[in-house]
Amino acid sequence: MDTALLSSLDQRGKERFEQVIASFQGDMSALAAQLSIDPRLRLKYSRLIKIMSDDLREQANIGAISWEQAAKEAQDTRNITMEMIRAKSTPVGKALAQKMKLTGKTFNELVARKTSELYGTKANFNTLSELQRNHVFGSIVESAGRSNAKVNLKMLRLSHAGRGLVIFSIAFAVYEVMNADDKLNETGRQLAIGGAGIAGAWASGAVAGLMCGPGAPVCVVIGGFIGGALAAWEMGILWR
Amino acid sequence: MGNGNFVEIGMEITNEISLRVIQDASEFKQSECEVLQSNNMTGVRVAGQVLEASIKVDDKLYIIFTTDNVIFEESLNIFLLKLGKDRKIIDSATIGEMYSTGVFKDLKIRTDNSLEFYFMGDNLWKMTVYHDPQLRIPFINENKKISRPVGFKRYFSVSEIE
Repeated sequence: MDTALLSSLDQRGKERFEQVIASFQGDMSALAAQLSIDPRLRLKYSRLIKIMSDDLREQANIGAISWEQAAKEAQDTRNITMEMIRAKSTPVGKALAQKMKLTGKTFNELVARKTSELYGTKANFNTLSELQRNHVFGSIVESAGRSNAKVNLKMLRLSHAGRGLVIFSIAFAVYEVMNADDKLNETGRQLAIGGAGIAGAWASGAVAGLMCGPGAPVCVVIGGFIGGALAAWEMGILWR
Repeated sequence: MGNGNFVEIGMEITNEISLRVIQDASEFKQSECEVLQSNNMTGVRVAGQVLEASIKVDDKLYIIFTTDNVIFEESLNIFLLKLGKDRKIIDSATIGEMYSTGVFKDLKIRTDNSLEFYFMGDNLWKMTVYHDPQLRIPFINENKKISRPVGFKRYFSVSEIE
């Protein structure tokens, strides 16, 4: 039996296995990063808008601005805050947020809704007293400080899941290092794979988002994973 | 409704139902309301704060639509309730998306067991109440804008009409 040939085949099989593991690790790092960035941003968004709303109410209460101005600014600020979050967001978050913005409310719609809610369906904003109108505007400002509790809870849970994936990625990397002959080299390799996975997924996700058009989050996720795997594969080969 | 009794379905909009806020919303929990029937407490509690509409399906079955008064990120909560003896929430669904909002409007009863309404811009939705519960695969919902409680049965469906 040609043991040299067997040894060579075994080595090739081992290398191939190593490459598959490297790709898997890259994808896990990318997913963990996406889950941990977007949910954290979401929770930050939720707290930011509350601060904004409280601040506007304070200004209107002391007469620095009118209640109508406060209500308009609340609506504008909600839109601007969303833009800011989108700019920091991952490719998946951006695609989702872009899609969502298409169904906002105009200021007049908000005023009509609040009038109906506070004073009945037959009420007409134009016939309300100044006090009643300010009540409508104040209600809009107060609502601007609220975000959907169900979404907040879901994102809080996702942020925990993201942390779980990060821990898994780290545990996997530690295992590989512990089992490597050249531990220093292996540590560098693991860091490179993890980093490449994140960078690759980010770039690939952004490109996929452009190719699929705005509001195509499924396209972005697939592109992101493929990019993450490819980048990690190449980094695994290059490190040798 | 799954107990051998045939349900004669014929819907109509009703003013019998109202809500009383039991608990205000927090950052991670929706408001909770007690459902009142002709101003009497029913013991049934639902999520939401604003009653958008209520439909009488038969003597015991009601559909109610609620929203959370989060006007910049509103979602629509739908409940199929059984009131009277053995009162409970039979089935529920929520329509909504992160960073998106909607206004519930133009509710129309189409047939004895189906209705339509607008929510989230120009999106038209159809709701159909079943005579008998339908089997469903948990975690797979009619539409990605719809979320449902975990379970194997569905007593109504909600779909977006293209």
